[in-house]
Amino acid sequence: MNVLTKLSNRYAAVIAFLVLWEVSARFEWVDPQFIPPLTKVLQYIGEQAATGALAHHLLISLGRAAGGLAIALIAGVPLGIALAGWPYMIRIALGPVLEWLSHINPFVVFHIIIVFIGAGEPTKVSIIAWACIWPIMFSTLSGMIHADADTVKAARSFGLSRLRLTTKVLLPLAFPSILTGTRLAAGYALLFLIAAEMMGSTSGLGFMIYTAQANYQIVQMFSGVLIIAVLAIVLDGIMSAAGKRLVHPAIK
Amino acid sequence: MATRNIPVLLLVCLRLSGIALLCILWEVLPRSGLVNPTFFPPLSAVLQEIAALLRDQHLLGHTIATLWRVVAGIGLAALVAVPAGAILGYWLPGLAAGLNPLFRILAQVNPFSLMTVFLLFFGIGEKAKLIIVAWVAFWPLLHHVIVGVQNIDADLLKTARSMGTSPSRLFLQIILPGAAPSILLGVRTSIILLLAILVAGEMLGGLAGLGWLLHWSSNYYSSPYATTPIFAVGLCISLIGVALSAVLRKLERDLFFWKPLESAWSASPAPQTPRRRPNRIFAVTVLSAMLLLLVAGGASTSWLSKTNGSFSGEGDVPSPSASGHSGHMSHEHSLPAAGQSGHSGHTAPTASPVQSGHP
Repeated sequence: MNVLTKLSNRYAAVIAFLVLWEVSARFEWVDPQFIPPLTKVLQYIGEQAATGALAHHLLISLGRAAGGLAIALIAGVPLGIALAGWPYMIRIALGPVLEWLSHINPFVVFHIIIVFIGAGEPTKVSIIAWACIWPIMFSTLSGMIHADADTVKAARSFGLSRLRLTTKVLLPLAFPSILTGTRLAAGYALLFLIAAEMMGSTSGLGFMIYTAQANYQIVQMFSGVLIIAVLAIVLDGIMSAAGKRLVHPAIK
Repeated sequence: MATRNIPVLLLVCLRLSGIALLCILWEVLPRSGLVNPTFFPPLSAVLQEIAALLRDQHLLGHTIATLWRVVAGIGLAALVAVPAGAILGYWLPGLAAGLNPLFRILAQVNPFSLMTVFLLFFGIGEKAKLIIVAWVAFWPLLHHVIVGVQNIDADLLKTARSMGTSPSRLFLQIILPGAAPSILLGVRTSIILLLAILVAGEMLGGLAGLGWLLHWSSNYYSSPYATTPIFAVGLCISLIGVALSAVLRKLERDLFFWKPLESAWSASPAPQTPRRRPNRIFAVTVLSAMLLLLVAGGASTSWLSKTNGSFSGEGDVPSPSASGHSGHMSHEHSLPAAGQSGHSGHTAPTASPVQSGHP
C-alpha cells in the first residue's frame, strides 16, 4: 500500500494527463477521430495482444533495438577506452574527425549501407548502432578523462598495471558517465528504430505505425505511440535501476 | 595528467591533420580499388557532385530550407519553453517537480509516430513539419530552462525580490540572464538530434530540404559512381551539423566568459586565456544571420516547396516526357545512362506532394 501511494504521488501528473486524455475525448472537447479516448486505444492493444500480432511486431522491434544498442556498446566502450589511453597529440588530431563523423546522419549511413548490403535486418540494426555509438563512445571517453585525478594517482602509486588500472579503477570511475551515455543512446535507439522501420520494413512497431498512418487508423497509431512511450520509460527505468545497483558505492 | 603547453600553431596543425588524413584516405582508397569505388566514391567525385547539385538541383536552396526549419523550430520551441520553464522553475517549483515524470514521458513520445496527428491538426506542409521540429526541441529545452532557473544564485534572487522588483523585471533582468547558459546548452544538445529528425522527416514527407534531396538522390544513381549523390548530400548534412555546433560553442565561449571551458578531448582544463568581457560581435552577427534566414529562407523554402524541389518548376527535375528513361540529361557529367532505366528519380514535378519512402 505504501508503495502504491508513493507511486501515485510520483506519477500524479501522468495519471492526471491520462484521465484528461480520456475525458476530453469522451466529451468531445477534442475530435475523437483525431485523438481517440485512451480506453479505446487500450482495448485495441488488448485485442492485438490476444491475436499475437502485437507480440510479433514488438519482439522484432525490441530485437533490432537491442541488437543495435549491443553493437554500439561492444564497439563504443572499448573505443572510448582506447581513445582515452592514446597520447594527447593523437587525441587532438582525432577530435575533429570523430566530431565530423558523429554528425553524419544515421539515414545517410542507412542509404549507403543499403547500397552495400541491400535492405534487410543488418541495415536496420546498423543505423541504430551508428546513432548509438557516438554518445556511448564520447561518454566513455569523458568519464575516463575526467576521472578523479587523486584516485588515479593513488592507484598508480600502488604500481597497478595499465590493464588493471583501466579495469579496476578507471572503468568503475567512468561507469556513471558511461551509463548516462547509454541511457541517451537507448532513447536514440528507439527513435531511429521507428524511423528506420517506417522507411522500409514489413514488420516492427514502426511499420505498424506507418501502415496505421497510411490508412488513417488513428486508434492503431495511438496504440503504437503508447507502446513505444511505455517501452521507452521501461528502458529508462531499467537503466536508472541498473545505475543505482551497479555504480560502486564509493563514487555515488 | 598535467597541463600541456602546446603552441597554438602546432595545435591547429594537429587538429587539421586528422581531417586531412581522412580526406586523403577517402580519395586514395577508392582510387586504388581497396574499397569498391562504385559504392564508395572518392572525395573528388563527391565534391564534383556537390558542385553539380549546386548548379542543377538548388542544393543551396535545400540547405537553406533545412536550416530555416532548424532555426524556426528551435525558435518556436524556445518561445514557449523559456517562459514556461521560468514560471515552472521559479514561481511554481512544486508543480515543476510534479510534472517532471510527465515531461519525461512526453519527451519520449516518438515524433515520427505522431506525424499523422500533426498532419491532421496542422495540415500537410510547412506548419506540421515545424511543429514536429519544435516538439523535438521543446522537451530538452524545457528541462534545461527549469534546471538553469533553479540553479540561479538564491541570494541574488532574494536581494532582487527584497528590493521589490516586479515579476516582469525579475524575469527579464535576472532569471533570463541567469538561465541563459543553461538555455544555450539546451539548444546545443537538442540541435543535433533535431537535425537528424528533421532530415528523416523531410525524407518521409518532404517538399524541400536536404532530407528530400537525400531521398531523391538515393533514387538516382549518378555515374560514374553509383552512390555519389548520397555521399554529396550526406556530406552537406554533416557539415551543417558541424557548423551549427561550432557556432553554438563559439557563442557559449563568447557570451558566457566566466564559464570554464571543458572539452572531452583535453585531459586538463582548457588553457585559461584571459577572457574578461563578453564578445558580442559574433553573437550579433549570428542573430542577424538568423533573422535573415527566417525571412529570406522562409520565403525561399515556401517557394521551393510549392514547386516540389525546383525553383522554376521545370527543367532540373526530369520530366518523363522530356528525358524519358535516361533521366538526368541535365547533368553534364552523366555518362551513358545504360542500366539506369529503373532510377529515373522523381519524375513528376506536380505529383503528390508527399513522397513516401516506403516501397
